[in-house]
Amino acid sequence: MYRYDEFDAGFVAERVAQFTDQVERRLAGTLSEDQFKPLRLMNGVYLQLHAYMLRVAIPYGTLSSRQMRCFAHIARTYDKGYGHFTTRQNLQFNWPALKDVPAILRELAAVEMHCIQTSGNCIRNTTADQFAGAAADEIEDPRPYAEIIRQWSSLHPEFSFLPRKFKIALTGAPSDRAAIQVHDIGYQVVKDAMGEVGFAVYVGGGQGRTPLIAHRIREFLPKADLLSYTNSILRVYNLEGRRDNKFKARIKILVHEKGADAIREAVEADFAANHDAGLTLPQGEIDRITAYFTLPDLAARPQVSAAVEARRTSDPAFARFLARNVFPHKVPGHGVLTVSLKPTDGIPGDATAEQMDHLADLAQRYSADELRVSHEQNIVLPHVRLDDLPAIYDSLRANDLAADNVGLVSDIICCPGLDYCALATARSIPIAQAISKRFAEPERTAEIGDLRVKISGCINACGHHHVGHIGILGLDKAGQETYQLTLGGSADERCSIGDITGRGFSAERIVDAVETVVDTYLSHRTGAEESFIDAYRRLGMKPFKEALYVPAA
Amino acid sequence: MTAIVSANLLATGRVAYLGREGAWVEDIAEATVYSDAAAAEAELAAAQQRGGALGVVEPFVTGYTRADHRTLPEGRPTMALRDAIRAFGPTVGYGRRAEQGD
Ligand code: SF4
Repeated sequence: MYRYDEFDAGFVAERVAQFTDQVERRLAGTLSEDQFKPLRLMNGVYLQLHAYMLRVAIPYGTLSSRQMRCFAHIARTYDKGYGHFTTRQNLQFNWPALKDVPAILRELAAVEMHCIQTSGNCIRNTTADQFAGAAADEIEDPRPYAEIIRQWSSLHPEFSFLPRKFKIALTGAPSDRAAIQVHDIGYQVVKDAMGEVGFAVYVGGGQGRTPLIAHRIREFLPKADLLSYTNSILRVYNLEGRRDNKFKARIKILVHEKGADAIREAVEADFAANHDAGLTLPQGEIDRITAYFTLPDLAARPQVSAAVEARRTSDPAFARFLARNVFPHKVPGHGVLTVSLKPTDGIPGDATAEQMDHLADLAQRYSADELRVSHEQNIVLPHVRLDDLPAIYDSLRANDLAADNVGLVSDIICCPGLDYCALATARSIPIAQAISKRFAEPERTAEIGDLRVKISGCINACGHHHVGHIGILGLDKAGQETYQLTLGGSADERCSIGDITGRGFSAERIVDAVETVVDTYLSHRTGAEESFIDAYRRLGMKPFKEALYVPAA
Repeated sequence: MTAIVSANLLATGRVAYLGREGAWVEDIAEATVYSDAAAAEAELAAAQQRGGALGVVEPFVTGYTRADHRTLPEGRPTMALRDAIRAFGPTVGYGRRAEQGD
């Protein structure tokens, strides 16, 4: 795994010292809130409804057992014993006291983590496929490039005051698990006709109040030009992006207003003019960073594990777990295991300190000391031996972590909503809980098959509702929580924005509405092999709308 | 409608209310209830004037009647849901009620 170099360690230590002093001055009253607020935000400290919230970046979603244990320790010592994994591959602590934040930042720095650039109009945590470096379907691990972008963009003077925040995501596989088409820039590792590996470049995607799908502005970018090209995109955005209206300041609006062709031309012109040696990546540097991400030494093993097969036939729950939670690994005899943080009636993305410690133990023992966080708010053990799966499964079960629902209707993405968030217009967690209870029967959810439900508590769309197969947006209509339903969104390589079904539903009715949608799908699908999203694309909105809005008799 | 002054405590971030003798209290039951929003605004301004708001952030006035909090969280509050959640904690656990063990 990547380790901080001296530069990182130096700037993080310096920043912690600086912020410690700023907190002291704020508490002593020599800094006003107006002066302090931008400083705390630069260090990931938000003020939410009940308390401060501290957002910790987990670069490209990769962390070690040691780092996970540090989260557990912080949760226990300074918080209420849990943390929340977000759709941005960050971890949020919901209850830290401001006076404790310097100590927390020192604890994080000791395990090479920080909260810098988790807020503000800068380049945010670069996210990546949670299966990166492990998945069998991958062309190449995108994380070295995410790390190169992270290093380059950290405290970048030119890009610290962009018109708005800026999010970059990478995937190394043709199946997009990182939702790159709804990011400001998405890089997809591709191979050209000559077999050379580089990137396809997507620009101008985003969610929020104006959801837009990114445009592919370049088919193939050589690896060496990654920073140079990113720089050109950012320069065009920094110069031309709107600063007059917060809601129109993201690059997606610029791309939308000027057109993808105009943006491509502007970026290519800047790239041609400034394609200087300064940002061209030397192969030696790519190799140096890549060395941190080499696959752990996993010896190939038999593709079929006798231990797994024996258990599979005798234990239906284990069989479901295998079917949903284990993904093929590059190395035969291994698997990429997703641990669902979506138990029935749970809070999506929440993990207790005990669960974090437990996951760290499992990673240390069974997964080369590595964990991942997915944008779907689950945890991944990327390198497990198939033979170990029965033992891991039993251990997960004992810690309420064995939900066998990855990618199913109850594996819900959900933002904190009005239970925590100062910007929310309605609650989202109770809706997720109610849906998970309605679909708690594992045979039934397995029968329904792939179905992504995503819930946001306001138009900012942190819960990715626009790209949910079923999306739910919580709104406030004259003091009442109201839920708008969208269908047909998708965050993968066939990215689409969902269509609104019609008028919204009350908190009491929204779960019934979701069930109506599911039942309508089941009765219209050509067979179990036609997934919800495929059926929706074939059928369109009509049958769903008819079922949802039955005229009063 | 009667009103209260709320804010978050600077040091901890926890929700607080302007209570008796200008003290900030964490329990909404101890909040001073003013006759209307204008009276609450005046009280907040006075507190700010004498430096009585230095220990809090983002103070604001919101409508509240004493009967409200007895209806929570089961009954539908007449206070805004947001204010009710601030007063009693997340409706999904970890709130004041959870801490108090009820
Ligand atoms: S979508 Fe809205 S309510 Fe949910 S976390 Fe984001 S800002 Fe808060």
